[in-house]
Amino acid sequence: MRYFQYKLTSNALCMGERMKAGIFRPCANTIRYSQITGALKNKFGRDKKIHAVGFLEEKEGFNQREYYIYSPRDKVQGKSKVPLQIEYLTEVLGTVFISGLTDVPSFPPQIHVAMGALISKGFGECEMQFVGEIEVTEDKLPVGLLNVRLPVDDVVREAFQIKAIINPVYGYLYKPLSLSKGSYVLSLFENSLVSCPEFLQKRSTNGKRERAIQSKRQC
Amino acid sequence: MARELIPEIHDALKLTALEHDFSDFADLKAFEPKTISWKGVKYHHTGEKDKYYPIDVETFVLQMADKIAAGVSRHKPALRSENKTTEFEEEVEEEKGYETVCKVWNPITAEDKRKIKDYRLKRRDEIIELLKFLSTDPSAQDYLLRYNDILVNRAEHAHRGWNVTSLMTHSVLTGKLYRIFGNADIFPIHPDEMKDATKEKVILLTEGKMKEWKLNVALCQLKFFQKPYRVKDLNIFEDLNNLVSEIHTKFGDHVFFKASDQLLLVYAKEETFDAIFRLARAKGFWIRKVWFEQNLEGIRTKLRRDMSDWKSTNVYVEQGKELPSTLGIRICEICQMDEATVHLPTETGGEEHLCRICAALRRRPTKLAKYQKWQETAGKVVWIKISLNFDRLKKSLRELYVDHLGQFRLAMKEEDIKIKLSLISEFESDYHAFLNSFRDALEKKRGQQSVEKILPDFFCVRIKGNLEILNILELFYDLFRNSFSKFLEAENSPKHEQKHSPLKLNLLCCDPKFPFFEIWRIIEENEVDPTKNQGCFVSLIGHGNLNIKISSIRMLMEAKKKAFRKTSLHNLAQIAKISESLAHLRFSGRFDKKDYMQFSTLQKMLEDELTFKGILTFAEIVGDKK
Repeated sequence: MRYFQYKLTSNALCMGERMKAGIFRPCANTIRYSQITGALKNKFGRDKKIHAVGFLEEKEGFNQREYYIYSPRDKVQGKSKVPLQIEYLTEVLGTVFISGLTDVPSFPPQIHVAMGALISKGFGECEMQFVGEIEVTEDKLPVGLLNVRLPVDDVVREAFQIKAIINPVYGYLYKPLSLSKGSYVLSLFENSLVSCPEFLQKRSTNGKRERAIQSKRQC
Repeated sequence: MARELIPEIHDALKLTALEHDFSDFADLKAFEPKTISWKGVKYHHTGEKDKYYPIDVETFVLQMADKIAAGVSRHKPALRSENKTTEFEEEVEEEKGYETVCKVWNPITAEDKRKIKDYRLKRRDEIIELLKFLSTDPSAQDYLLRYNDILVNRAEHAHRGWNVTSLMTHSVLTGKLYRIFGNADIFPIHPDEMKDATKEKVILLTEGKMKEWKLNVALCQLKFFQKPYRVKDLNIFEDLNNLVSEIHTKFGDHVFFKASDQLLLVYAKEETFDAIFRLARAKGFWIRKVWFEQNLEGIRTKLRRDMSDWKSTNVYVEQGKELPSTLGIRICEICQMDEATVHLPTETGGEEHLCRICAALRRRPTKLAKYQKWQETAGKVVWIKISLNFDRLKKSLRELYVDHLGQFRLAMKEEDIKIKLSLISEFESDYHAFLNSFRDALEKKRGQQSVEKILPDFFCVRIKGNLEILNILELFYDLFRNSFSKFLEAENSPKHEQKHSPLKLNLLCCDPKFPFFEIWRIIEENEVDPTKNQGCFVSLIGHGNLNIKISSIRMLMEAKKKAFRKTSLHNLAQIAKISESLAHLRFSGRFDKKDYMQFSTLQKMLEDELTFKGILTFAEIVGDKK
């Protein structure tokens, strides 16, 4: 299977999780499948078969968390509503992988996408720079801790060669069904122990991919 | 199949100064109890010198439980020295002074040893009183309560190097294991196997059952999906506390170690774990389970291994069930793992969409009235969580045990030294005592009105300024040094592989309105982040972190005592917010003579303990003008 690796940068990105208490929106730690795939589909066509996923790089000086307070205005009454606090990232540096299981003829070397929340306020402008192609064969799917979030359905598993789910960390990701409707699908979250391409796995502190001892962690 | 013998009483003779093998019991024969439990006292050994040995199925099972619950191996290793001097022989012959338990994480000094009271019953009238009490066929609870002082101080194995677990811990564990082994369907012994058994036959049978009988040992972390953000959402911690208590009450025989959110379980069949999981699931929790199954003979070896060698699984649903593959259009805002079926109005006129379990949490009144009040006033709070890393605990205890044995002239090889479940259980009482002392000290120092207890190891403390963080650190350090002196030493010991303390202090300072789920996220991440594996993590949310050894707190206290100009430090911290490079220049350059003197003193004191960023955070704390 082929994968297209891109470096993602942004000045300010709010990959928001659900609003809490109506006044605070925390920021996710990964570039979720739903978010990046949705952004690319907006770019290349909503009917296109695209599967993408990503993570934030752990590098000093990048992906700093900041807080932004703003007050949306009630345009009818002409006054501000309750102030909202948003968590966002600055100096964003991430890596995105687009699966070769796609009907997009080719992906350009540079892709500009808008992603996340508060796009109208200037957040979420992302530049994706092509890094290279990765070819992963069926025999190169080691066991390790997942560094991304993606749905656990068969189509996505096939797109990212998730061969075996050994010890999952589950959650739910949004899947749009139409422009206005969607549902939440069972997904694998970070730290799930799976058999998959190495580039989707967490690195240990010495730079090598973290691996579990495969035979001894079988459940 | 239940048995009537009370296993906790089996070592009752160790409460006295009598020989454990009944060799000096003849004078007291007239007072010998006639109960089934006394049969356990008499017939549970298979040592060379023991006259009495297991005579039936009950006493055989008791002997098995006693063996697994023992703190050390039942044989004494050969002494190292072949050239015995008179002094050496005398030392060996006497074997005195080891009746009192020695805690390897906080051993008593040689001087204190001389002042130790021998708690054992020595007088004839005291021993007769014990025998009369045992003749009343008391319950385990009555026995353990009545002789509590002796049981907690008396070593289970009163020999040099082996006195590391108390008779109390040993008696309680023997009781649990006896009842686990009491299931004859899982741990069968045919009555014919014990018929007319000789001691040698019993020994052979024991060896066979040690290979045949298996147990599961599982470390279970109780986890929740919720991301609490309103005060009432913190009711999840009350549920967690109640869940741990409920598991301990209903499955007490299987709980060998208990912390606020994790349990070490020992069980024979998976049905036991399933039943425990059902209790957890009903309250919305899931379990991270790390475990092994092993025959009795191999348990110590397996315990010694790194926990990454054990099996691991996250249990979300009961056996045979699955999480739903899709949820509807509305997902619960708190846990994000279930459909939102309850819609609660908010103060701002909107609606929150919650699942059944989260809505029930939200509807309950909060017990954290103080924290709720703090949210309405100015000021700061400090969240204090003392986490326990079980794998580090295991490794630390073993290394400390090796150190402890190293004091004596014993011929054991280091690789043969293993720890047992009993040493881990022994640690538990000191661990809980430490947490209680910390809570009491916090309340005494800061006033009850300033301390909110969330869990036994999790607090929220009201402070006026950052400088009070150092007071809390000092309090923690003093108590830690008094309770776990050897963990402190190990942090700086070149011979110890396990340097990081098994207990970790997380101290996070923020505005009371700062979203709690962020605090919890940081605390949970710290448990697995390898870059934050030191014993003490201090965070001024949004203003920097300290990640240091617990022993380094002492240097921070020394630095605090120095009369640094607050203005200098405050200005340095403010500069760092704009440019860290500029702050570094100011810190190491001679821009201002007075500042330079301050900073170079600070650097000399702390450069071994802190990075420059850490020093900036320290400056932010000390330079706080409130």
